[in-house]
Amino acid sequence: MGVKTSDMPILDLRQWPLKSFREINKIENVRTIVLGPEILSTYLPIPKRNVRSHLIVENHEQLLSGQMDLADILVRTTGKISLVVLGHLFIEKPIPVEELERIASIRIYGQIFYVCSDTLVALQSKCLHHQGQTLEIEPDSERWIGQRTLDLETLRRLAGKVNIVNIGTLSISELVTPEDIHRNLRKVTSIGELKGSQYNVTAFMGHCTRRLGTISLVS
Amino acid sequence: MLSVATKTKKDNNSTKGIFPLKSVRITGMSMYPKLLSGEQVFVMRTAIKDLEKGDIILVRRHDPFRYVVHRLRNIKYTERGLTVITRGDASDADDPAVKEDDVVGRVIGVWREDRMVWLKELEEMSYPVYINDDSEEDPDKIRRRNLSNEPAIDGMKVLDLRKFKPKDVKNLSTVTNIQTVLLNTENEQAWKDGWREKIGKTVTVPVGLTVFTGQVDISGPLLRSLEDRLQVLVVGQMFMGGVTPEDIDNKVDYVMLNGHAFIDNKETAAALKKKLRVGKEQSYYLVIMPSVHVRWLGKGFLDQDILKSWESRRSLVVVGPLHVSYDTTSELIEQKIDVFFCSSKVICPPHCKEILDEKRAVVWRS
Repeated sequence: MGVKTSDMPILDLRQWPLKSFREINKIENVRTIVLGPEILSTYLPIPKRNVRSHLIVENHEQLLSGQMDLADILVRTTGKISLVVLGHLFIEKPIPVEELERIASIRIYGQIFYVCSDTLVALQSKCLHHQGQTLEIEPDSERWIGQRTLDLETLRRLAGKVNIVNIGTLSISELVTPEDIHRNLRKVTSIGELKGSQYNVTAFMGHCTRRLGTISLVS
Repeated sequence: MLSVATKTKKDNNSTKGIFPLKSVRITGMSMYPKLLSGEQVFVMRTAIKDLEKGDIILVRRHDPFRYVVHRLRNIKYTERGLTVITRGDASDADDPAVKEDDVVGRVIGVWREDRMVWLKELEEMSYPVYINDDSEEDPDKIRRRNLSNEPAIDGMKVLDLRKFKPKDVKNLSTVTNIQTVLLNTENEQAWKDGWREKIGKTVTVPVGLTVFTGQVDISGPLLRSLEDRLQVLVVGQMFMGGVTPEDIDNKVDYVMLNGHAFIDNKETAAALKKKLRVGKEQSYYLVIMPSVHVRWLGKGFLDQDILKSWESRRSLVVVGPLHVSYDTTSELIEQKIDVFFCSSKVICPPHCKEILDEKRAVVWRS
């Protein structure tokens, strides 16, 4: 009997011993499989179902996953670095050129949200591969990450004064009306599934300057 | 939710009455594109035994109270008697079940453009489709897939095989449901030897190319900052703003474009066109579109509420299908949309088609 590996966002197989690797007879429902260059021939024949992508990380590259700020990455690292970013990258302030020069190369699998276009340009010039979008955001935007509900309380708190970056599933409460949305939302950048009544969904989309994802109309 | 607009709790039973035919006005887009918000539909009182799966029916719901026009999915026997399951054509989930008594009748037609459109005609009616219409799957392929063994890879968004040896790629028996496959020049032939189906795009990537899959913004300052000339593969959408024809001439070696490039002026688009490399199975679209625009990726809805909420005229890019609500007026589109582009189907009421056509961005395609 072999092993079935399933239902995980990231399956990092780089450290797996080759022997146990050979026992996997199926991989399913995995968002991203991370591989080292040595195991490619063993990996490819394993049946894979609903695996969104695989990512080969070379030995000289550093893998970073999740939501992260470029400034934080540079603070946490030293010397020349080659980066593989699996997740969303935020550029919220200008980075000095000499700091950016430490990045030898970068591959990004996710969205880049930027405030400072000069830093974005410098980063893009180091980019070998980008799978995702480049999205300009307003400074000091409020971030909504993960699954969230847009309810009356949240809208009243925003009071039309705050821009939003939303990443993840957003459900609009049925107690909210389109008027509440128009009155209290400003600009929105929205990535992910949007759930709600047809009227609330369209009201919300009226505020989205950038929108990516599926829509589920709720009866 | 496609609700009946004129009914309230007070006229709880008014749809049954003694007359077998009733007309009701509907609101909402859950039966889009068959039924449109604001339309008047005709309902024939029908016994549950005479209903068939797939009929569009009017049912009464209690929590909250309203009448709903949705498609019949199933009728089940339960301890409480017969229950009826419905779902809107544009909805992703079934509605809560209702009891037999709450079924009012079957929709037999709709009043549209000053005439009665009967149900049969309605079901066969197609809506304006501009480009990239889905083609039907080859029945032979379906049969062979059913016979084949479990696929080696099924359902991957981007299958990046650039680092794999030809023999490994050749050993991949069955690969299915992949949006984009990236190959290198060495394993390209090996890929073709296996069983491949439902593959969106296959792109052979020369060594050293910068690859963008998804959406990329390339600005003039980016191009001017590059030390080397740009060699880039874009699978998806490339948005170019503030780029001059000189930037393209000086800094772009070539672009392999498999998808759409949005450029804010024709001169730059003409310069870029000279730098495009297009493979045999690849296609591109160059779209002239202002760099400041609203961008929706995925399914989009456009209705009067959205347009009214825009404080000024905007250009709109939709990458995916767009549904335009019936209540959207051509005057509102004229007033609020500057330039419009949709990469996929546009399902819109007839009165919006002409004005949207007028607003469509200039497109050069391969």
